[in-house]
Amino acid sequence: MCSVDPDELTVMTRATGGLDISGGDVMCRKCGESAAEVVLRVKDAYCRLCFLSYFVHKFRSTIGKSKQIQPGDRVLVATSGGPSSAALLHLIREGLNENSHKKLRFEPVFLYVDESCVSNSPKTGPEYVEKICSEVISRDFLCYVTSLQQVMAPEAHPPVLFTKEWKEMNLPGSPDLDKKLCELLTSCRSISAQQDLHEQLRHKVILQSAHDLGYTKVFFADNSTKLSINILSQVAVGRGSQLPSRVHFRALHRDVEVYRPMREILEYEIQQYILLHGLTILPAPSFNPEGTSIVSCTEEFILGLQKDFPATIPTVFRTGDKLMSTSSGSSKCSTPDVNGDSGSKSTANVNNDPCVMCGSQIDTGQCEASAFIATLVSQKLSCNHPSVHTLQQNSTNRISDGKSKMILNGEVNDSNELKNTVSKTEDSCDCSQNSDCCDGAKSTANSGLKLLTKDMIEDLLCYGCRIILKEMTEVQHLPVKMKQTAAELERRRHMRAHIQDFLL
Amino acid sequence: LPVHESVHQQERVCVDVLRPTCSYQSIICNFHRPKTGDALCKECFFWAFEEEVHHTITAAKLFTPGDYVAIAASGGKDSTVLAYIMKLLNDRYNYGLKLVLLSVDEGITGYRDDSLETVKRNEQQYDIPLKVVSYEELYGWTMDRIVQETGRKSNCTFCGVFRRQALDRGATLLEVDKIVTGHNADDIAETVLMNILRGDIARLQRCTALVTGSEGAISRSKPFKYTYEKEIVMYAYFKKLDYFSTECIYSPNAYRGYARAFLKDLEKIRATTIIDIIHSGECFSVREGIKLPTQSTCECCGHISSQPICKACVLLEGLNKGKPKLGI
Repeated sequence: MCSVDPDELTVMTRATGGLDISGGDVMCRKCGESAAEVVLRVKDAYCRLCFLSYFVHKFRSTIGKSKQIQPGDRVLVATSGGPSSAALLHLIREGLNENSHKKLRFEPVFLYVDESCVSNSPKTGPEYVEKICSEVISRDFLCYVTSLQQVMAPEAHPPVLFTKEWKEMNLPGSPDLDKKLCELLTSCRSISAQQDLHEQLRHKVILQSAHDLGYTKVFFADNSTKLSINILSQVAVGRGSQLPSRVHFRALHRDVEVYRPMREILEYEIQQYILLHGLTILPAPSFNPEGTSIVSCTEEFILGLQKDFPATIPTVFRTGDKLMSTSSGSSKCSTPDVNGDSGSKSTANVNNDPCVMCGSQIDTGQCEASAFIATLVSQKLSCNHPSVHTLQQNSTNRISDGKSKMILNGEVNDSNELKNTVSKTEDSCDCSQNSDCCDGAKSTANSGLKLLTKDMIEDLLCYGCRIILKEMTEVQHLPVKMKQTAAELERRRHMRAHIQDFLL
Repeated sequence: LPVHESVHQQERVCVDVLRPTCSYQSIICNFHRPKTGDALCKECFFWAFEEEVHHTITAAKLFTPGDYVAIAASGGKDSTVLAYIMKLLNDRYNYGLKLVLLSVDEGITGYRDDSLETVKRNEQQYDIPLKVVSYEELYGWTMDRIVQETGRKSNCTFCGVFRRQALDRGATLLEVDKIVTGHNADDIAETVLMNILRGDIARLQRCTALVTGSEGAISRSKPFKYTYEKEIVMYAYFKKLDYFSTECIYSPNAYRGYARAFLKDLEKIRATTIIDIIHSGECFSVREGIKLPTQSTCECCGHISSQPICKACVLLEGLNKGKPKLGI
């Protein structure tokens, strides 16, 4: 069967041989005066000065055209020691030093998240903390340090300021938290899920740190290449609805604004910048599992395709830029308040609470004819779930006479019921055993936590996080705070269901 | 003799332990379902497969009783299984539909003749009437002649544009209410990826819709939207449904091949990615202020088009005037 798409719009042109400037005789395409040192976009040659001004201009204009960063704004810059972070550090320093009217005017401090406990070389953690943070303070900026395992703590330790008198013990964390974090990550069966979970946790820690330090604006050093890979890999793990918040220049997460000023700069361009300025890259120990995963497969695909078709990364990036998710409406709206009961929707199953794991909008409240419901139907039909068992018993003849149709329709037409068929039994069980559960008193929070099952938490997660949860062998490994929030939301749902008839 | 028996006993036990048992009945199955990985026996797999398509149809309210529905039949696996399933579900659940097979003859000798044979066989096996429309009668050109005129570079553009219109025109001739096509989950996921790679925002918004078609055009739907290609093949294999499965002889290495390879790699890593991609696609919408091409009708033939004159008319004019590059 012919599988070619009719009326192809953009024809992807293959790259033909790149420009060779090793001879030193090719002139810069911009000024035409100096010999070219850098080749961009396969064929465009730039001399050192023109390239640097192009690079810096991209950075400044990304920030400037948004008009979101005002003079005097306090910004927390997340740094990892890698190439993009190093370039960002340099750009900010140069930008603040500038004497002209083009001077950058905001007040940045830096944050380094130590991930050595989940890396392949945990012992080198403290060493890299020193190296990376020293680099930052050598440029006259403040630098804070926190560690990834803080996400597991009931009360996160606020980030610690790095000073010249830094000692290893200053790093917040404990072996107990280390162990818990490792257990959590290894409880996911596949590397894809582990990487996805790690990404969510890292994001959480940075936002938590910003909150603790009192910053409402955060910079991430994500570059265009990384974002393009992100776009495809997020689509592949079912996080299409969260693309805007992971890819746009400005994204709002509860009360913290996340910015990505390097988003229009390619990884290759960053590497050239680093070479020309002789910056030091410090590859910090981070979570880097071996093996194929969705992210690694996507990275391989995009980088491979980019070699043959140089328009790939810019096109993917621009596509991601134009997208919004249907659940959040306009790009300027903020995520809804966790405790706010939205008056506009009256049904109990419409979920305005953010996902408990990643903090994004829940995207599973869709109509009957959606991919999400289809997956639920498949699961129920395939694994002889107790709720479907009754379905089977009632239709004796598989080639039925319409009886099974009625029963299946009855079960499935109410999608809320379908989703809750299992959790309903668990919930009612829960409530009868813990009679004070519904009071929501904090003192009973811990007993409520032990009864948290996968199905209860599942309802409180977005599509992408559900996939992670499905792979987890043991739900108890989840961070304490997450479990507490989940239990609390569960209780609120019960309360809401009770008073449903009276809400307008 | 007792020795033989006990040996047999042992063997059977070993086999029982190695092979999984069906989730519903305790019989041994010999395969896992590609979509979820659960072990099901043949009968239960058939049932699950059929129920899922039935659910897609009822949840999206694709049909009303009394509808006259055309099944786009190419002779390939998707359309053969689609025809079989539509007939089966129509009978089992009393959709009340009148079915007809609609096939398009592009005029490619060798390739199209074989697949048309399959469709004619389907007509008899499933007892559904068949209507064939050809490029020759609709446009006055066959693909063989077009390739002679234009060469191999842009023949797919011609064929694709013509085929889409041909289905619509055939459907209008038959006066059907709805068209169903055999696009499966793999196709749709691949289209989502392709449209991201090409930056086609307009298509990205539309491609995950179950039902497409606007004012005046006959609506098309895809009952197999959530059905995995592997499962369709598995269903056809176990039900012994016959189909024709070769690539078109004129097909070039399209850019789509990259997206397809990527999708297959992803599927190997995690089987649910196909549906996950479709879910992501369903969550997209376009930011305010982005311009999308508007849709109106062609001044020449009245078919839906985003330009004043639709692509098919432009291409046809080029062919007829002896200037085949027009419109490419």
